[in-house]
Amino acid sequence: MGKSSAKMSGDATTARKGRGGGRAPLGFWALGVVTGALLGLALPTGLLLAIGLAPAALAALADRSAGRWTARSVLVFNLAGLVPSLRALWLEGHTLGTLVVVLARLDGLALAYGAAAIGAVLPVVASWAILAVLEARAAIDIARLEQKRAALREAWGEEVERLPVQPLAKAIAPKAP
Amino acid sequence: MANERLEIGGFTADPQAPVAGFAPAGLPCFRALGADGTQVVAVLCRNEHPARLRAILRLIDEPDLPGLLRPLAQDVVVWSGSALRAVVYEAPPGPALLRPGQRAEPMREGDLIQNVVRPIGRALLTLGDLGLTHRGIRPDNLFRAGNGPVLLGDGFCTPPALAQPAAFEDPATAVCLPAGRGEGTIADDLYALGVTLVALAMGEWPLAGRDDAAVIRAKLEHGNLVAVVGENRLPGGIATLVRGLLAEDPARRPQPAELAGWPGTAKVRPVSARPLPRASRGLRIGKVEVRDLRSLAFALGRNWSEGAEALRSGAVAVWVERGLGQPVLAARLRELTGPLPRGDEPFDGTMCRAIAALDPHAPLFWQGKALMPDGIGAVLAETLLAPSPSGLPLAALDALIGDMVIARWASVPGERPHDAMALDRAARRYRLVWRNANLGSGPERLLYALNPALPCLSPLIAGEAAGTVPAALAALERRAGGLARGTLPIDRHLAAFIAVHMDGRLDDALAAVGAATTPAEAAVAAMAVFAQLQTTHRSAPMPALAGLLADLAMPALAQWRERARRERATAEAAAVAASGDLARLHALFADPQARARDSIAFAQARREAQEAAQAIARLRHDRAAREAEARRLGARLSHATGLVVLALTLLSLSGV
Repeated sequence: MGKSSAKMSGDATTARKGRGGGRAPLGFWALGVVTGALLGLALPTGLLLAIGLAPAALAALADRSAGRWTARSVLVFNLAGLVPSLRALWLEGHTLGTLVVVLARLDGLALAYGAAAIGAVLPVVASWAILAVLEARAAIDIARLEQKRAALREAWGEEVERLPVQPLAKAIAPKAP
Repeated sequence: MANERLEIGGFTADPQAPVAGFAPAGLPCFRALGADGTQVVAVLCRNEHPARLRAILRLIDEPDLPGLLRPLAQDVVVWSGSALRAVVYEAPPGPALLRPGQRAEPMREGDLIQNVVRPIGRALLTLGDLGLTHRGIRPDNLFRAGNGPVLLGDGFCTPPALAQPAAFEDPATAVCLPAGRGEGTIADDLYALGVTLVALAMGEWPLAGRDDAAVIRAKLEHGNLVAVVGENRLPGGIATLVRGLLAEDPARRPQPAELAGWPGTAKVRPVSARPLPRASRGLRIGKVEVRDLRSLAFALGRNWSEGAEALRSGAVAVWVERGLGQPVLAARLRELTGPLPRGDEPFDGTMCRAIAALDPHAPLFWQGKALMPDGIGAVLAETLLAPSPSGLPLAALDALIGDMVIARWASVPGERPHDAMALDRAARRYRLVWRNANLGSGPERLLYALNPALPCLSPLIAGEAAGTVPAALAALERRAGGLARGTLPIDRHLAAFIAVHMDGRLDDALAAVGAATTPAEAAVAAMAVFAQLQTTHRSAPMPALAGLLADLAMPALAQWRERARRERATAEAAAVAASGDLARLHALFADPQARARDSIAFAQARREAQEAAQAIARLRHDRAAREAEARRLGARLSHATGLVVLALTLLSLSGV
């Protein structure tokens, strides 16, 4: 627990740096240059990406957690769902007309948005599954420890636990690394 | 019980056949038979007036005791429900020579020399060689068959000279409490022989019908010889001998060796009687008017409060200086009393020392009573076991021992047959024991230490004959079954008896019993004592005592931390107790090494239990952290999955 807390704390620091530190403006400007170049050089692709990756953009805005791992997940799933539409745009003619045709195919955007939805739901489902595993492990540990306490009580009587015990606050305090 | 035959060291006494006139001081005396049919007599001693056991044991071992009825055996018996020391003597060859109040034909000089003086001289010579005194020479304690030589009867079944009338004792011992006259010296026996010779030569007891105080006063005022002989005329040879035997100065009395060959071995001595300086004007102490130092000392001692007043006021010193013309002694008295003390200050110690300074031969006077320092044991027995108004009160005895009066008395210069340094050491030892409140110490220990003849007087074994530690253990084993559950089978008397008979080797163990805070703890400590006694004396198994102690100590098993060990010990305790092996039982209850191991293991177990409890508490408290961790891992896993999907999509669409 201590370890994970420390890590989370580190991620938060990194996130803050990303948002307001020295590297954020460079990235921001790089994104602007890339986007401008993309819209200038490949307008249909840029427009398709802008429309198809809207869920990822929303997720990026909504996810304020450290590392924005949910937003990243949505992004990669969203991108994976948009790849067929991009392929179709590039193979059928890289024009605004083709873009309209591609966009008119509802299955293309549905695939991109559905994949984004999976990317949004999957972290929750995965965390549930992992929590279940962690809880099971904790329950097993508790059972093992209770069994040990019972054995000690059996061997030494209730006195073995009746004698002075550390206060609960001290007992649950995180151990020093 | 009183009618049952008594077994005493191989002799059988018949309580139905009393013997009159042999035992002193009204002690019960019965006919007894040896294994070979020998006719003997058995005397039962009183506990409050303990027998002189060391002397008896010494005499029993002595093969040749001329002129003395020899003790043959001794043991502790139960008589009328009490444990008493009993002593078996040779049967007297005939009746006593002269009983109190009896008038008889005066014995002729030749008969006295041949059949009384010489045999008793030989007896005293033997006793002197053994370092003993008799202290019971008087006409009713001399026995003879026909016209043969006399045999000296018992002098050891009571404290020294307890049964001696004042007429037969030097004033210095006559004034003492009967129980407190001390062992004395052969000179005291010679004095008694002198008075006895006067009685036999006159055909009646001298000074008969007069109380002790009058006898002592007469001796002090007129001297021993005049007081005892009075107007009577003694045969010439006897008169010379009696004059020597009754000499005021004990050092001038003839020695036993001279008596054994009298008159051929008699030595010429200077005039024995040296009159004390007397004042023309007397000094009144209470109702007594005194004119010499010795009478003054005795009057002060017997009239304690009046004497203290006279000493405190300085009247005594003034009279000694002006009336007796002894300014040095007067100055010493003033030095002893110091600046005149206030009326409410303790003055007993000063009185005691002042009397000792006035009369170097005087006994130790204390609060109106007198005793010899070596008589304190018997006085202690009398005070503790049969207190009487005529004896020394317990408070006075407490002050006597607690203030080390014996040492203070001995430190006053004087011609006493006592070693002042030895008395000082003894007084310190008495006080140390007396004031020690530990079990195995205190007054009871002093009682047994100073009176080795006493059987164990513990109420726990009342009615049992226990004169030795093995006998006490056997008695306790017999009585243990009848004791109420929860009764600790050791008390102050039994502890003191054990402490004395084990020469202090169990002092710590006995003190631990007394210092125990719970009955169980006391029982375990008592187990240690009895286990050591059982081992030391190789005593028989004592299952009843072990069972009683095990029951009492059972809560101590709860001190075993390990439950299995505790249950095993509980199960074993009954079996070990039934075996009667107290050492094993004690090891079961109090093996220190196993206890230490148990404690260490328990501490380890407690630490483990505490760590487990803390770990459980942490696991239960850390659910939020696990949820956060699950969210973090879930998001990363999802992200990684997304990358894989993206890669697969790209691959599949690229036509690879």
